[in-house]
Amino acid sequence: MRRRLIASIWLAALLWPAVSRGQEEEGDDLEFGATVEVEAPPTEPVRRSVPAEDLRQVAGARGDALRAVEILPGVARSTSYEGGAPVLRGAGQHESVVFLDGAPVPLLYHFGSATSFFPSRLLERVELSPSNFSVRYGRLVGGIIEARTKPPATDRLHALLELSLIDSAALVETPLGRDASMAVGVRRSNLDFFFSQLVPADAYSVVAAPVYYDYQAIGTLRVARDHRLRLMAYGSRDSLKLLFSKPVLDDPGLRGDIEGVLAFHRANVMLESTPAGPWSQRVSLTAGTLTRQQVVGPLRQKLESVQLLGRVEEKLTLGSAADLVFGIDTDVELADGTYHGPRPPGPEGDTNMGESLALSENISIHDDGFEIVQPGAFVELTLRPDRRVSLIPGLRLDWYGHLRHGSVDPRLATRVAVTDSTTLKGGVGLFTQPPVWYYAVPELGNPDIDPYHALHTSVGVEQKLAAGVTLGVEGYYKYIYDDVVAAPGSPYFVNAGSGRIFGSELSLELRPSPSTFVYAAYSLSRSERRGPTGQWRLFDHDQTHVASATASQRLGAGWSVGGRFRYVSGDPTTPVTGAVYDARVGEYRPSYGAQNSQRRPAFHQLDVRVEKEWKISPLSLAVYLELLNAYNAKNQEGTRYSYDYSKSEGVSGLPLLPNLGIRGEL
Amino acid sequence: MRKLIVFAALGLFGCDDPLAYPQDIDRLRVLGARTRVAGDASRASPAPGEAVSLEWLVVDPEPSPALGWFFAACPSQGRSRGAPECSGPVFAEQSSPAPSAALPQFDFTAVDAERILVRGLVCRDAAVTSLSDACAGEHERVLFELRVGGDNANPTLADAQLTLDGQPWPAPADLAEPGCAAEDLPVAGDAKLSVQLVLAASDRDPIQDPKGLAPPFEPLFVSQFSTLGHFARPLSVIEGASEQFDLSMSWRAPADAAGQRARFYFVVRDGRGGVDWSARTLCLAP
Repeated sequence: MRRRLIASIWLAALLWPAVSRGQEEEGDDLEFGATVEVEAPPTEPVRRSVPAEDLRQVAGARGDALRAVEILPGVARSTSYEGGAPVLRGAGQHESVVFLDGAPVPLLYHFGSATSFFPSRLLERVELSPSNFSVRYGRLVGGIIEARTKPPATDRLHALLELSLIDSAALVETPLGRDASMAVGVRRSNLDFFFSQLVPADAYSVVAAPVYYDYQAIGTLRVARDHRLRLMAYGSRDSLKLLFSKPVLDDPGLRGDIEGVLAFHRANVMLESTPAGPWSQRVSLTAGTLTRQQVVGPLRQKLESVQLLGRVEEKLTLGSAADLVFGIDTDVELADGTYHGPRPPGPEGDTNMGESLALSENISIHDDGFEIVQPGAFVELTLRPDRRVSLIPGLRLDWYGHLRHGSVDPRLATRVAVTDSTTLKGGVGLFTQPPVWYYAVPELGNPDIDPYHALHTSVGVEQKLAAGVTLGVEGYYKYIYDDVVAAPGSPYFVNAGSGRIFGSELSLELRPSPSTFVYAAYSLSRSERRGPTGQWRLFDHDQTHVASATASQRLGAGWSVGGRFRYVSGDPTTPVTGAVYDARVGEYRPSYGAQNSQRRPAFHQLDVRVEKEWKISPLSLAVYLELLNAYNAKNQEGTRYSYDYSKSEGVSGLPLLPNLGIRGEL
Repeated sequence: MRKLIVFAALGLFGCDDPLAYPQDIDRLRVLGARTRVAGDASRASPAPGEAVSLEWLVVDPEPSPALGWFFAACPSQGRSRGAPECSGPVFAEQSSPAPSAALPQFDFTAVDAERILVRGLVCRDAAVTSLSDACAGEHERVLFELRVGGDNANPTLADAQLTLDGQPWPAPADLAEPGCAAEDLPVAGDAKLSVQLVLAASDRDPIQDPKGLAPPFEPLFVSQFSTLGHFARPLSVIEGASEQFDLSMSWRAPADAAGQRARFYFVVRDGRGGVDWSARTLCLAP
């Protein structure tokens, strides 16, 4: 297990750049700072939107709206030691991206699961499109999660201070005159203050971690009656350092100290123009840096990159019958880096991930000028021939400079309101994604590798059963072709794979009163992949059943309670059938049965949250207690083996974890 | 980074108690394979056409188990990950005439290939005629990939200084002797002893890395094993950038093995095919 985890640490860390890339996108809401928001019908057939305020109340999410998207259908459970990135409708974690106001997020969760990088108090909505998303988004074959920021408060000064066992946060929002406002927030982990008490005394000589922090600053200024300027800066840094007092020497490939840093800093400027005429524009430019550094004994990786993300989007309203949106977006990344370690694995389906690092031969790479230039353009027409019918054809063009390859992706979505309470929806389209960038580095992969593609189809119905009660049912099928898979020899990555994913989803939302929120979701799915051998097998994170039920209730007198229960099929696993002793390195190599032919036991967990708030105008004070894994379920997250693979046992995930916090607001 | 902390929380803290200790010899085990190129025993990488003897270190709680074995050699397909596989037909194979106490030795002539893969099966008390044989008793399936060409040398333990609690610890005259021998150092039950091993700087070959990211020399990995008692850890390492060539390891004697002879094996590897080993014995005093 330790080997598997550390191999995952080292090898899958290279997946980070995939998350960091993408394109600058902006939300649909062109009415910045409006006090009353009118939601336009979504242009994606499967967009799910929940106000951040509701998501903050979800038990187990620690008040984190981005974590709470796990309650939505189409979102599989991702194990924290695999990065915590979302698994949407059977797609790989590197095939879906979380956007903050359209900008792809390099790091979603601190340390994989602790908390997201952005405070939920500054978020307005979180929207999920697990497939069939708009042509305004590209370079992905999975799905997207959009987090949309909230304009800073314009009424008066607001301040918040929150302390919990996990972290501390402060946030200030204030108007600056009649036409401007700003918000500043900062958060820092508290784990390092008591981490040394949790670590066995003889395990490390020095522990300097884990530490994370993030910061945000947002300023808005109305520069003219119809023009608004927004400046935003945000960033995050996670660091960890473990110095061993006695070497970890059960694996000759893994020895010595462990340290790592993942940090990014971003600045964004956005100008929105919404004049009274049919035209409106949004221009956005984001610049930032990203640092990824890891040392695991003799293995090391350091990558520094500069990212420039630009987007210009025009919207033309053609009366009540049509809208036209078109624009361009560009993603440029300039990277320098060094790498000394084993050859990286494929994006998924690598049964050798758990083996000793000593069994792989190390390679060394120094690249001080890798350039990724990816311009894209899109056009989307929303036709409303009838007030009940929307037809949304779109076309997206992308160029992948480092691959010398382009793509043309047509997409179509439609919504038909059959009755006032029943809406049918559907979509079909092509989606294209470049492989993880280092797969194209000559020493590491295949400079002739191409992007790969997916066909998405989905149909569904939304049914309003009663006031505040909405039922959704959807079905989908996706086919991936020219998928990138690892090859045993040079070239090490080839476009020789394919995938098929199908399933159905059920959601039920109840809002019987403003103080009650109930959400239930069930997903039934099957995700398979096929390599050059032609045999279909289960995807690494195929989860047949994903069910969750969430409820929160404000009880009055400042009390609120909530709970969340999840039941999820276990991930597929590949059985170890024996082992061969490799005398070159003195380690056993496992022999495997059919790939992903078994499953871990199902995961189930109950989280509960209780909060009491006192209002002493103009202040409010709240104390909350969250119990994660309230009945201490022993969920198996992995398997560890004896040195010769003759014995094994499951490794459980996090036990019952209480989190007590206090929050004061002005 | 996101995985590091969870590794710490889930993996490291929960795994300090392994399911089995690799340093304890409690069954038939293969511990190493040593390449002997005809005419140049120090070289670990033969040239095409050179005769090679591949010696296998097989140990057991019993001093002299009867072994049957079979080995086959083929050109190896270079794989970036996973077990190596044959890229061509088997060009040499050899089996033991009958189960015997002699250590396996596979003789073949290196072919013109980048690498050679040797696969084998070692069984207790049973003859082996092919790799697909199913041994009823204890057995080990093994492989060894050696590079063809180059000048990688075997490290050597013949000249290494080995001491036990500061006393010189010579190799036994007869390792196969089941009981204590006169020259065996006596050790009290449950005693905790310090073993010191000093290697030579010349045991490491330089590494050519144009990128400058690898250390200047290959590291040396020393695995330590005992048939009785328990080493505190299974492995010691001299890093490629280190100037320290002495290794210290602790071994605790069993409390209930009075009068028995403990055998110790030290295997040094350079990770690139260079291997050597040495054995020692102790007598557990009543």
